Amino acid sequence: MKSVVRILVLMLAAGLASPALAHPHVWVTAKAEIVYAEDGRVTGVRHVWTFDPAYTAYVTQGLDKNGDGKLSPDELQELAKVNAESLVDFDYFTVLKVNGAKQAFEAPRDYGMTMEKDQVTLSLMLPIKGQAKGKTVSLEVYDPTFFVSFGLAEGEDAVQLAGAPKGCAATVSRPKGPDTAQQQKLSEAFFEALTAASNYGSNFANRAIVACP
Amino acid sequence: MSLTAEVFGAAPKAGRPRALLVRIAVAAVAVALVAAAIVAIAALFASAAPPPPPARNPFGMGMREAAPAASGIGAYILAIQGSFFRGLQAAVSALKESGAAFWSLMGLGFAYGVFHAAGPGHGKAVIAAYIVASERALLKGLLLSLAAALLQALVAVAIVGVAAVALRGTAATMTWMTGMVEVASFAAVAALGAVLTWRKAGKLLGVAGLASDAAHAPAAHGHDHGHGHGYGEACGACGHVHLPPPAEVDRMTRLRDMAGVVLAAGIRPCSGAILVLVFALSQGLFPAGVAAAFVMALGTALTTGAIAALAVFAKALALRFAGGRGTGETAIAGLELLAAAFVLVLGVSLLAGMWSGAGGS
Repeated sequence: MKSVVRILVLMLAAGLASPALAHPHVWVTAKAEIVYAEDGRVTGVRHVWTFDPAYTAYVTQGLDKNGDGKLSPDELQELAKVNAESLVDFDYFTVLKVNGAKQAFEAPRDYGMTMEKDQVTLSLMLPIKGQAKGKTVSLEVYDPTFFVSFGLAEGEDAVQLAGAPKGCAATVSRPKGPDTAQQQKLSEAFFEALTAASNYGSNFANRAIVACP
Repeated sequence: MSLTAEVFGAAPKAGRPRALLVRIAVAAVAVALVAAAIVAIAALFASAAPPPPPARNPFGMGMREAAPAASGIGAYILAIQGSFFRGLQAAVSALKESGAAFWSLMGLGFAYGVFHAAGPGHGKAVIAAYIVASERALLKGLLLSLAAALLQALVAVAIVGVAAVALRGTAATMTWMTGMVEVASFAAVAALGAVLTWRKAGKLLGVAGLASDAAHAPAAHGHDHGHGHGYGEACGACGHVHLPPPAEVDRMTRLRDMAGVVLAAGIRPCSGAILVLVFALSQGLFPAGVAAAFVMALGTALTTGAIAALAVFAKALALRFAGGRGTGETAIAGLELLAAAFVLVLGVSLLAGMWSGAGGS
Protein backbone atom coordinates (compact mmCIF):
# COMPACT_ATOMS: atom_id res chain seq x y z
CA MET A 1 0.00 0.00 0.00
CA LYS A 2 2.69 2.45 1.00
CA SER A 3 4.79 1.59 -1.98
CA VAL A 4 1.77 2.08 -4.22
CA VAL A 5 1.29 5.58 -2.83
CA ARG A 6 4.98 6.22 -3.25
CA ILE A 7 4.97 5.15 -6.86
CA LEU A 8 1.86 7.19 -7.58
CA VAL A 9 3.41 10.31 -6.12
CA LEU A 10 6.61 9.70 -8.03
CA MET A 11 4.76 9.23 -11.27
CA LEU A 12 2.75 12.38 -10.63
CA ALA A 13 5.96 14.26 -10.04
CA ALA A 14 7.65 12.79 -13.10
CA GLY A 15 4.63 13.66 -15.20
CA LEU A 16 4.74 17.22 -14.00
CA ALA A 17 8.37 17.53 -14.84
CA SER A 18 8.35 16.02 -18.26
CA PRO A 19 9.07 18.38 -21.13
CA ALA A 20 6.62 21.20 -21.46
CA LEU A 21 4.56 21.99 -24.47
CA ALA A 22 6.16 24.85 -26.28
CA HIS A 23 3.16 26.39 -27.93
CA PRO A 24 3.68 28.65 -30.93
CA HIS A 25 5.21 31.95 -29.94
CA VAL A 26 6.38 33.04 -33.36
CA TRP A 27 4.39 33.02 -36.58
CA VAL A 28 6.07 32.92 -39.95
CA THR A 29 4.44 33.36 -43.32
CA ALA A 30 6.67 31.42 -45.66
CA LYS A 31 7.33 31.63 -49.35
CA ALA A 32 9.75 29.36 -51.11
CA GLU A 33 11.40 29.05 -54.46
CA ILE A 34 12.81 25.72 -55.52
CA VAL A 35 15.87 26.41 -57.63
CA TYR A 36 16.94 24.17 -60.52
CA ALA A 37 20.16 24.07 -62.51
CA GLU A 38 20.14 23.98 -66.30
CA ASP A 39 20.55 20.24 -66.40
CA GLY A 40 17.45 19.74 -64.28
CA ARG A 41 19.18 19.17 -60.95
CA VAL A 42 17.65 20.72 -57.85
CA THR A 43 20.25 23.05 -56.37
CA GLY A 44 18.43 24.44 -53.37
CA VAL A 45 15.60 26.40 -51.84
CA ARG A 46 15.23 30.12 -51.58
CA HIS A 47 13.25 30.92 -48.45
CA VAL A 48 11.37 34.14 -47.80
CA TRP A 49 10.01 34.21 -44.26
CA THR A 50 7.87 37.04 -42.94
CA PHE A 51 7.55 37.26 -39.16
CA ASP A 52 4.56 38.40 -37.14
CA PRO A 53 4.53 41.93 -35.67
CA ALA A 54 5.15 40.87 -32.05
CA TYR A 55 8.22 38.79 -32.85
CA THR A 56 9.34 41.55 -35.18
CA ALA A 57 9.14 44.00 -32.29
CA TYR A 58 11.17 41.64 -30.13
CA VAL A 59 13.86 40.79 -32.60
CA THR A 60 14.36 44.33 -33.94
CA GLN A 61 14.45 45.90 -30.49
CA GLY A 62 17.29 48.41 -30.31
CA LEU A 63 18.51 47.80 -33.88
CA ASP A 64 17.60 51.26 -35.19
CA LYS A 65 21.18 52.46 -34.85
CA ASN A 66 20.78 55.85 -36.53
CA GLY A 67 17.49 56.48 -34.75
CA ASP A 68 15.53 57.49 -37.84
CA GLY A 69 12.60 55.29 -36.84
CA LYS A 70 13.22 52.99 -39.78
CA LEU A 71 15.16 49.80 -40.08
CA SER A 72 17.32 49.57 -43.16
CA PRO A 73 18.63 46.28 -44.57
CA ASP A 74 22.05 47.39 -43.35
CA GLU A 75 20.82 47.72 -39.79
CA LEU A 76 19.23 44.27 -40.08
CA GLN A 77 22.15 42.50 -41.74
CA GLU A 78 23.80 41.34 -38.53
CA LEU A 79 20.48 39.89 -37.35
CA ALA A 80 20.00 38.14 -40.69
CA LYS A 81 23.47 36.64 -40.36
CA VAL A 82 22.85 35.36 -36.82
CA ASN A 83 19.50 33.92 -37.83
CA ALA A 84 20.79 32.28 -40.99
CA GLU A 85 23.75 30.76 -39.18
CA SER A 86 21.79 29.43 -36.21
CA LEU A 87 19.23 27.73 -38.42
CA VAL A 88 21.57 24.79 -38.85
CA ASP A 89 20.70 23.64 -35.30
CA PHE A 90 17.16 23.04 -36.45
CA ASP A 91 17.98 21.69 -39.90
CA TYR A 92 16.76 24.98 -41.37
CA PHE A 93 13.15 24.00 -40.53
CA THR A 94 13.24 22.52 -44.01
CA VAL A 95 12.65 19.03 -45.28
CA LEU A 96 13.37 18.71 -48.98
CA LYS A 97 13.02 15.37 -50.64
CA VAL A 98 14.04 14.57 -54.19
CA ASN A 99 12.48 11.34 -55.41
CA GLY A 100 11.80 10.57 -51.77
CA ALA A 101 15.40 11.04 -50.63
CA LYS A 102 15.92 13.60 -47.92
CA GLN A 103 18.50 16.21 -48.82
CA ALA A 104 21.16 17.75 -46.61
CA PHE A 105 22.00 21.43 -46.88
CA GLU A 106 25.06 23.59 -46.97
CA ALA A 107 25.29 26.85 -45.06
CA PRO A 108 22.78 29.46 -46.28
CA ARG A 109 23.92 32.08 -48.78
CA ASP A 110 22.71 35.52 -49.84
CA TYR A 111 20.82 36.11 -46.65
CA GLY A 112 19.21 39.42 -45.87
CA MET A 113 16.40 41.03 -44.00
CA THR A 114 13.95 43.77 -44.83
CA MET A 115 11.36 45.62 -42.80
CA GLU A 116 7.99 46.45 -44.23
CA LYS A 117 5.42 48.18 -42.06
CA ASP A 118 5.70 46.27 -38.78
CA GLN A 119 7.03 42.96 -40.07
CA VAL A 120 10.52 41.78 -40.92
CA THR A 121 11.21 39.37 -43.72
CA LEU A 122 14.23 37.08 -43.77
CA SER A 123 15.35 35.76 -47.11
CA LEU A 124 18.08 33.24 -47.72
CA MET A 125 19.29 30.72 -50.23
CA LEU A 126 19.65 27.20 -48.89
CA PRO A 127 21.87 25.11 -51.19
CA ILE A 128 21.59 21.36 -51.37
CA LYS A 129 24.67 19.40 -50.43
CA GLY A 130 25.73 17.29 -53.38
CA GLN A 131 23.70 16.36 -56.42
CA ALA A 132 19.98 15.75 -56.57
CA LYS A 133 17.93 14.97 -59.59
CA GLY A 134 14.47 13.52 -59.79
CA LYS A 135 10.97 13.76 -61.18
CA THR A 136 9.30 14.53 -57.87
CA VAL A 137 10.37 17.01 -55.28
CA SER A 138 8.60 17.63 -52.00
CA LEU A 139 9.20 20.55 -49.70
CA GLU A 140 8.04 20.94 -46.10
CA VAL A 141 8.71 23.90 -43.87
CA TYR A 142 8.00 23.46 -40.19
CA ASP A 143 9.39 23.64 -36.68
CA PRO A 144 9.27 20.21 -35.01
CA THR A 145 9.07 21.92 -31.61
CA PHE A 146 6.14 24.11 -32.71
CA PHE A 147 7.71 27.12 -31.07
CA VAL A 148 7.60 28.71 -34.51
CA SER A 149 4.42 28.25 -36.49
CA PHE A 150 5.18 28.22 -40.20
CA GLY A 151 2.40 28.82 -42.67
CA LEU A 152 2.78 28.98 -46.43
CA ALA A 153 1.68 32.34 -47.81
CA GLU A 154 -1.68 32.76 -49.46
CA GLY A 155 -1.85 32.81 -53.22
CA GLU A 156 -0.30 31.11 -56.19
CA ASP A 157 3.22 32.36 -55.62
CA ALA A 158 3.80 30.73 -52.22
CA VAL A 159 5.98 28.07 -53.78
CA GLN A 160 7.60 28.86 -57.08
CA LEU A 161 10.00 27.06 -59.35
CA ALA A 162 13.10 28.74 -60.73
CA GLY A 163 14.61 27.27 -63.86
CA ALA A 164 12.69 24.01 -63.56
CA PRO A 165 12.51 21.70 -66.58
CA LYS A 166 9.57 22.31 -68.88
CA GLY A 167 6.30 20.87 -67.67
CA CYS A 168 7.14 20.78 -63.95
CA ALA A 169 4.35 22.00 -61.71
CA ALA A 170 4.11 22.70 -57.99
CA THR A 171 1.08 21.82 -55.92
CA VAL A 172 0.73 23.35 -52.49
CA SER A 173 -1.24 21.80 -49.67
CA ARG A 174 -2.08 24.54 -47.27
CA PRO A 175 -4.36 23.65 -44.36
CA LYS A 176 -6.28 26.32 -42.52
CA GLY A 177 -3.92 28.01 -40.14
CA PRO A 178 -4.54 30.17 -37.12
CA ASP A 179 -3.27 33.17 -39.08
CA THR A 180 -6.79 34.47 -39.50
CA ALA A 181 -6.97 34.86 -35.75
CA GLN A 182 -5.32 38.22 -35.97
CA GLN A 183 -8.03 39.78 -38.09
CA GLN A 184 -10.88 38.59 -35.98
CA LYS A 185 -12.82 40.76 -33.58
CA LEU A 186 -11.53 40.61 -30.04
CA SER A 187 -14.92 39.69 -28.70
CA GLU A 188 -14.64 36.48 -30.66
CA ALA A 189 -11.15 35.73 -29.49
CA PHE A 190 -12.14 33.51 -26.56
CA PHE A 191 -14.52 31.45 -28.62
CA GLU A 192 -12.05 31.22 -31.43
CA ALA A 193 -9.27 30.17 -29.10
CA LEU A 194 -11.29 27.23 -27.86
CA THR A 195 -12.64 26.03 -31.18
CA ALA A 196 -9.72 26.62 -33.53
CA ALA A 197 -8.01 23.88 -31.62
CA SER A 198 -9.81 20.86 -32.97
CA ASN A 199 -7.89 20.49 -36.23
CA TYR A 200 -4.68 21.95 -35.00
CA GLY A 201 -2.32 19.11 -35.68
CA SER A 202 -2.82 19.41 -39.39
CA ASN A 203 -2.21 23.14 -39.24
CA PHE A 204 1.44 22.44 -39.12
CA ALA A 205 1.51 20.60 -42.41
CA ASN A 206 2.82 22.90 -45.11
CA ARG A 207 3.81 20.87 -48.09
CA ALA A 208 4.58 21.59 -51.69
CA ILE A 209 4.98 18.80 -54.19
CA VAL A 210 6.63 19.32 -57.53
CA ALA A 211 5.93 16.84 -60.27
CA CYS A 212 7.90 16.79 -63.49
CA PRO A 213 7.06 14.84 -66.65
CA MET B 1 11.68 2.67 1.70
CA SER B 2 11.51 -0.13 4.18
CA LEU B 3 14.61 -1.44 2.48
CA THR B 4 16.66 1.53 3.57
CA ALA B 5 15.14 1.44 7.00
CA GLU B 6 16.02 -2.22 7.46
CA VAL B 7 19.49 -1.75 6.15
CA PHE B 8 19.94 1.04 8.53
CA GLY B 9 18.24 -0.61 11.42
CA ALA B 10 20.61 -3.55 11.11
CA ALA B 11 23.62 -1.30 11.07
CA PRO B 12 25.72 -1.10 14.18
CA LYS B 13 25.89 2.07 16.20
CA ALA B 14 27.87 4.55 14.23
CA GLY B 15 30.34 7.20 15.18
CA ARG B 16 30.21 10.70 13.81
CA PRO B 17 32.25 10.33 10.57
CA ARG B 18 30.56 7.03 9.95
CA ALA B 19 27.16 8.65 10.45
CA LEU B 20 28.06 11.30 7.90
CA LEU B 21 28.92 8.61 5.38
CA VAL B 22 25.70 6.76 6.14
CA ARG B 23 23.70 9.95 5.61
CA ILE B 24 25.46 10.59 2.31
CA ALA B 25 24.82 6.99 1.29
CA VAL B 26 21.13 7.27 2.13
CA ALA B 27 20.85 10.49 0.14
CA ALA B 28 22.69 8.88 -2.78
CA VAL B 29 20.43 5.83 -2.70
CA ALA B 30 17.37 8.09 -2.80
CA VAL B 31 18.77 10.04 -5.74
CA ALA B 32 19.64 6.83 -7.56
CA LEU B 33 16.16 5.42 -6.94
CA VAL B 34 14.48 8.55 -8.27
CA ALA B 35 16.78 8.76 -11.28
CA ALA B 36 16.16 5.09 -12.10
CA ALA B 37 12.41 5.51 -11.70
CA ILE B 38 12.38 8.54 -13.98
CA VAL B 39 14.49 6.84 -16.61
CA ALA B 40 12.14 3.86 -16.47
CA ILE B 41 9.06 6.07 -16.76
CA ALA B 42 10.62 8.03 -19.58
CA ALA B 43 11.47 4.82 -21.41
CA LEU B 44 7.93 3.62 -20.88
CA PHE B 45 6.15 6.69 -22.19
CA ALA B 46 8.58 8.51 -24.40
CA SER B 47 10.03 5.71 -26.45
CA ALA B 48 8.16 6.85 -29.55
CA ALA B 49 8.95 10.52 -29.10
CA PRO B 50 11.94 12.03 -30.87
CA PRO B 51 14.77 13.25 -28.66
CA PRO B 52 14.48 16.89 -27.66
CA PRO B 53 16.26 19.40 -29.85
CA PRO B 54 19.81 19.95 -28.75
CA ALA B 55 19.82 23.67 -29.26
CA ARG B 56 17.83 26.77 -28.52
CA ASN B 57 15.43 27.75 -31.26
CA PRO B 58 16.95 30.30 -33.67
CA PHE B 59 13.80 32.37 -33.28
CA GLY B 60 13.48 31.70 -29.56
CA MET B 61 13.81 33.98 -26.56
CA GLY B 62 16.94 32.39 -25.22
CA MET B 63 15.34 29.46 -23.44
CA ARG B 64 15.22 25.84 -24.34
CA GLU B 65 11.75 24.82 -25.37
CA ALA B 66 10.73 21.21 -25.63
CA ALA B 67 8.96 19.58 -28.51
CA PRO B 68 5.40 18.76 -27.54
CA ALA B 69 3.32 15.91 -28.81
CA ALA B 70 1.19 17.42 -31.54
CA SER B 71 -1.63 15.00 -31.20
CA GLY B 72 -4.51 14.30 -28.87
CA ILE B 73 -4.97 16.37 -25.76
CA GLY B 74 -1.46 17.77 -26.05
CA ALA B 75 -2.25 19.29 -29.43
CA TYR B 76 -5.48 20.69 -28.05
CA ILE B 77 -3.75 22.47 -25.17
CA LEU B 78 -1.08 23.60 -27.59
CA ALA B 79 -3.70 25.08 -29.88
CA ILE B 80 -5.51 26.85 -27.08
CA GLN B 81 -2.26 28.29 -25.79
CA GLY B 82 -1.26 29.45 -29.25
CA SER B 83 -4.66 31.00 -29.93
CA PHE B 84 -4.79 32.84 -26.63
CA PHE B 85 -1.28 34.08 -27.21
CA ARG B 86 -2.29 35.31 -30.64
CA GLY B 87 -5.36 36.98 -29.10
CA LEU B 88 -3.15 38.62 -26.53
CA GLN B 89 -1.01 40.17 -29.25
CA ALA B 90 -4.11 41.31 -31.11
CA ALA B 91 -5.37 42.92 -27.91
CA VAL B 92 -2.12 44.89 -27.57
CA SER B 93 -2.54 46.10 -31.17
CA ALA B 94 -6.18 47.01 -30.51
CA LEU B 95 -5.25 48.89 -27.38
CA LYS B 96 -3.32 51.31 -29.52
CA GLU B 97 -6.57 52.21 -31.26
CA SER B 98 -8.90 52.22 -28.29
CA GLY B 99 -8.56 52.06 -24.51
CA ALA B 100 -11.58 49.77 -24.42
CA ALA B 101 -9.32 46.89 -25.45
CA PHE B 102 -7.62 47.05 -22.05
CA TRP B 103 -10.12 44.68 -20.49
CA SER B 104 -9.81 42.27 -23.41
CA LEU B 105 -6.08 42.34 -22.81
CA MET B 106 -6.54 41.60 -19.12
CA GLY B 107 -9.06 38.82 -19.76
CA LEU B 108 -6.96 37.17 -22.45
CA GLY B 109 -3.85 37.56 -20.31
CA PHE B 110 -5.50 35.75 -17.41
CA ALA B 111 -6.85 32.98 -19.62
CA TYR B 112 -3.47 32.62 -21.29
CA GLY B 113 -1.87 32.31 -17.86
CA VAL B 114 -4.29 29.56 -16.84
CA PHE B 115 -3.76 27.53 -20.00
CA HIS B 116 -0.10 28.29 -20.31
CA ALA B 117 0.48 26.68 -16.94
CA ALA B 118 -1.68 23.71 -17.90
CA GLY B 119 1.24 22.00 -19.53
CA PRO B 120 3.88 20.34 -17.41
CA GLY B 121 6.60 22.56 -16.13
CA HIS B 122 9.43 22.37 -13.68
CA GLY B 123 7.94 25.12 -11.52
CA LYS B 124 4.90 23.05 -10.71
CA ALA B 125 7.07 19.99 -10.15
CA VAL B 126 9.26 21.85 -7.69
CA ILE B 127 6.32 23.18 -5.70
CA ALA B 128 4.52 19.83 -5.68
CA ALA B 129 7.64 17.93 -4.67
CA TYR B 130 8.45 20.45 -1.96
CA ILE B 131 4.97 20.05 -0.52
CA VAL B 132 5.38 16.28 -0.49
CA ALA B 133 8.82 16.68 1.07
CA SER B 134 7.73 18.91 3.89
CA GLU B 135 5.00 19.67 6.36
CA ARG B 136 3.16 22.25 4.37
CA ALA B 137 -0.47 23.10 4.53
CA LEU B 138 -2.81 23.99 1.71
CA LEU B 139 -2.58 27.73 2.27
CA LYS B 140 1.21 27.58 2.12
CA GLY B 141 1.05 25.68 -1.16
CA LEU B 142 -1.25 28.27 -2.67
CA LEU B 143 0.90 31.13 -1.41
CA LEU B 144 4.01 29.47 -2.85
CA SER B 145 2.27 29.11 -6.21
CA LEU B 146 1.16 32.73 -6.21
CA ALA B 147 4.57 34.02 -5.16
CA ALA B 148 6.35 31.91 -7.78
CA ALA B 149 4.00 33.11 -10.52
CA LEU B 150 4.37 36.75 -9.50
CA LEU B 151 8.14 36.37 -9.37
CA GLN B 152 8.03 34.92 -12.88
CA ALA B 153 6.19 38.00 -14.13
CA LEU B 154 8.55 40.25 -12.23
CA VAL B 155 11.60 38.63 -13.82
CA ALA B 156 10.12 39.04 -17.31
CA VAL B 157 9.36 42.71 -16.58
CA ALA B 158 12.86 43.17 -15.15
CA ILE B 159 14.57 41.60 -18.17
CA VAL B 160 12.64 43.70 -20.65
CA GLY B 161 12.78 46.78 -18.42
CA VAL B 162 16.54 46.60 -17.96
CA ALA B 163 17.61 45.26 -21.35
CA ALA B 164 15.19 47.06 -23.64
CA VAL B 165 14.00 50.15 -21.78
CA ALA B 166 17.01 51.15 -19.69
CA LEU B 167 19.93 49.83 -21.74
CA ARG B 168 18.24 50.21 -25.12
CA GLY B 169 19.70 46.80 -25.83
CA THR B 170 18.81 44.41 -28.62
CA ALA B 171 17.02 41.10 -28.76
CA ALA B 172 20.46 39.52 -28.45
CA THR B 173 20.87 41.19 -25.04
CA MET B 174 17.47 39.98 -23.88
CA THR B 175 18.10 36.51 -25.24
CA TRP B 176 21.41 36.38 -23.45
CA MET B 177 19.92 37.58 -20.16
CA THR B 178 17.03 35.15 -20.42
CA GLY B 179 19.43 32.31 -21.10
CA MET B 180 21.46 33.23 -18.03
CA VAL B 181 18.34 33.43 -15.88
CA GLU B 182 17.28 30.05 -17.16
CA VAL B 183 20.56 28.45 -16.16
CA ALA B 184 20.30 30.18 -12.77
CA SER B 185 16.79 28.84 -12.30
CA PHE B 186 17.90 25.28 -13.04
CA ALA B 187 20.82 25.71 -10.65
CA ALA B 188 18.37 26.97 -8.02
CA VAL B 189 16.24 23.86 -8.49
CA ALA B 190 19.30 21.64 -8.10
CA ALA B 191 20.50 23.56 -5.02
CA LEU B 192 17.09 23.41 -3.39
CA GLY B 193 16.95 19.69 -4.12
CA ALA B 194 20.40 19.15 -2.63
CA VAL B 195 19.52 20.99 0.59
CA LEU B 196 16.20 19.16 0.93
CA THR B 197 17.73 15.77 0.15
CA TRP B 198 20.44 16.27 2.74
CA ARG B 199 17.93 17.33 5.37
CA LYS B 200 15.49 14.54 4.59
CA ALA B 201 18.26 11.93 4.60
CA GLY B 202 19.01 13.05 8.15
CA LYS B 203 15.36 12.95 9.09
CA LEU B 204 14.93 9.46 7.70
CA LEU B 205 17.89 8.22 9.70
CA GLY B 206 16.55 9.93 12.78
CA VAL B 207 13.07 8.53 12.41
CA ALA B 208 14.36 5.06 11.57
CA GLY B 209 16.61 5.24 14.62
CA LEU B 210 13.72 6.29 16.82
CA ALA B 211 11.58 3.53 15.42
CA SER B 212 14.15 0.83 16.12
CA ASP B 213 14.96 2.32 19.51
CA ALA B 214 11.33 2.50 20.38
CA ALA B 215 11.14 -1.25 20.00
CA HIS B 216 13.76 -1.70 22.71
CA ALA B 217 12.88 1.17 25.01
CA PRO B 218 9.50 2.61 24.20
CA ALA B 219 9.64 5.25 26.91
CA ALA B 220 13.07 6.54 26.08
CA HIS B 221 12.26 9.08 23.42
CA GLY B 222 8.62 9.39 22.76
CA HIS B 223 8.40 13.05 21.92
CA ASP B 224 7.54 14.01 18.41
CA HIS B 225 8.33 17.43 17.11
CA GLY B 226 7.70 19.16 13.85
CA HIS B 227 10.89 18.31 12.05
CA GLY B 228 10.95 14.76 13.18
CA HIS B 229 14.68 14.94 13.85
CA GLY B 230 15.62 12.20 16.18
CA TYR B 231 18.03 13.52 18.75
CA GLY B 232 19.37 12.65 22.15
CA GLU B 233 21.90 10.31 23.64
CA ALA B 234 19.77 7.20 23.43
CA CYS B 235 19.50 7.63 19.71
CA GLY B 236 22.79 6.16 18.69
CA ALA B 237 21.59 5.04 15.33
CA CYS B 238 20.67 8.49 14.07
CA GLY B 239 24.25 9.53 14.36
CA HIS B 240 23.78 13.24 14.44
CA VAL B 241 23.24 14.80 17.80
CA HIS B 242 22.00 18.31 17.77
CA LEU B 243 19.83 20.56 19.79
CA PRO B 244 16.33 21.28 18.60
CA PRO B 245 16.26 24.70 17.01
CA PRO B 246 14.42 27.43 18.89
CA ALA B 247 11.11 28.46 17.40
CA GLU B 248 12.65 31.64 16.06
CA VAL B 249 15.35 29.85 14.10
CA ASP B 250 12.79 27.35 12.96
CA ARG B 251 10.61 30.06 11.51
CA MET B 252 13.57 31.64 9.78
CA THR B 253 14.48 28.29 8.25
CA ARG B 254 10.96 27.89 6.98
CA LEU B 255 10.91 31.36 5.46
CA ARG B 256 14.28 30.72 3.86
CA ASP B 257 13.04 27.39 2.54
CA MET B 258 9.96 28.95 1.06
CA ALA B 259 11.98 31.74 -0.51
CA GLY B 260 14.16 29.03 -2.04
CA VAL B 261 11.14 27.23 -3.43
CA VAL B 262 9.69 30.43 -4.88
CA LEU B 263 13.05 31.25 -6.43
CA ALA B 264 13.55 27.78 -7.88
CA ALA B 265 10.01 27.60 -9.23
CA GLY B 266 9.61 31.17 -10.36
CA ILE B 267 12.71 32.86 -11.71
CA ARG B 268 12.55 31.29 -15.14
CA PRO B 269 10.39 33.70 -17.10
CA CYS B 270 8.15 32.56 -19.90
CA SER B 271 8.90 33.50 -23.49
CA GLY B 272 5.31 34.59 -23.99
CA ALA B 273 5.47 37.24 -21.29
CA ILE B 274 8.72 38.62 -22.69
CA LEU B 275 7.30 38.78 -26.21
CA VAL B 276 4.13 40.55 -25.07
CA LEU B 277 6.16 43.02 -23.02
CA VAL B 278 8.46 43.91 -25.89
CA PHE B 279 5.55 44.13 -28.29
CA ALA B 280 3.68 46.44 -25.90
CA LEU B 281 6.84 48.49 -25.55
CA SER B 282 7.15 48.85 -29.31
CA GLN B 283 3.57 50.12 -29.42
CA GLY B 284 4.30 52.64 -26.68
CA LEU B 285 2.16 50.66 -24.26
CA PHE B 286 4.73 49.23 -21.86
CA PRO B 287 2.56 49.77 -18.72
CA ALA B 288 -0.25 47.78 -20.34
CA GLY B 289 2.26 45.03 -21.11
CA VAL B 290 3.37 44.99 -17.48
CA ALA B 291 -0.26 44.76 -16.37
CA ALA B 292 -0.80 41.89 -18.81
CA ALA B 293 2.28 40.07 -17.48
CA PHE B 294 1.00 40.24 -13.92
CA VAL B 295 -2.51 39.18 -14.90
CA MET B 296 -0.92 36.23 -16.71
CA ALA B 297 0.85 35.42 -13.45
CA LEU B 298 -2.49 35.34 -11.62
CA GLY B 299 -3.80 32.86 -14.18
CA THR B 300 -0.66 30.78 -13.84
CA ALA B 301 -0.98 30.85 -10.05
CA LEU B 302 -4.49 29.47 -10.34
CA THR B 303 -3.31 26.39 -12.25
CA THR B 304 -0.15 25.89 -10.21
CA GLY B 305 -2.14 26.36 -7.02
CA ALA B 306 -4.52 23.60 -8.09
CA ILE B 307 -1.56 21.28 -8.53
CA ALA B 308 -0.12 22.34 -5.17
CA ALA B 309 -3.49 21.52 -3.60
CA LEU B 310 -3.33 18.13 -5.28
CA ALA B 311 0.10 17.54 -3.75
CA VAL B 312 -1.15 18.53 -0.30
CA PHE B 313 -4.01 16.11 -0.70
CA ALA B 314 -1.73 13.33 -1.92
CA LYS B 315 0.57 13.82 1.06
CA ALA B 316 -2.34 13.78 3.49
CA LEU B 317 -3.58 10.58 1.87
CA ALA B 318 -0.15 8.98 2.15
CA LEU B 319 0.03 9.99 5.81
CA ARG B 320 -3.34 8.40 6.49
CA PHE B 321 -2.31 5.17 4.81
CA ALA B 322 0.97 5.06 6.63
CA GLY B 323 -0.71 5.49 9.97
CA GLY B 324 1.05 6.57 13.13
CA ARG B 325 4.57 6.08 14.40
CA GLY B 326 7.17 3.45 13.80
CA THR B 327 7.34 1.94 10.34
CA GLY B 328 4.66 4.32 9.11
CA GLU B 329 6.65 7.34 10.10
CA THR B 330 9.76 5.84 8.55
CA ALA B 331 7.88 5.28 5.32
CA ILE B 332 6.69 8.88 5.27
CA ALA B 333 10.21 10.09 5.97
CA GLY B 334 11.34 7.93 3.06
CA LEU B 335 8.67 9.42 0.85
CA GLU B 336 9.81 12.90 1.78
CA LEU B 337 13.39 11.96 1.02
CA LEU B 338 12.37 10.65 -2.41
CA ALA B 339 10.45 13.84 -3.15
CA ALA B 340 13.49 15.88 -2.15
CA ALA B 341 15.77 13.70 -4.25
CA PHE B 342 13.38 14.21 -7.12
CA VAL B 343 13.88 17.98 -6.95
CA LEU B 344 17.64 17.44 -7.02
CA VAL B 345 17.48 15.06 -9.99
CA LEU B 346 15.14 17.44 -11.79
CA GLY B 347 17.48 20.39 -11.27
CA VAL B 348 20.57 18.51 -12.36
CA SER B 349 18.91 17.07 -15.45
CA LEU B 350 17.51 20.47 -16.41
CA LEU B 351 21.00 21.87 -16.07
CA ALA B 352 22.40 19.05 -18.16
CA GLY B 353 19.83 19.85 -20.82
CA MET B 354 18.39 16.37 -20.72
CA TRP B 355 14.93 17.79 -20.42
CA SER B 356 15.04 20.73 -22.64
CA GLY B 357 12.89 23.05 -20.71
CA ALA B 358 9.55 23.50 -19.16
CA GLY B 359 7.32 26.18 -20.40
CA GLY B 360 4.46 26.09 -17.93
CA SER B 361 5.51 27.82 -14.80
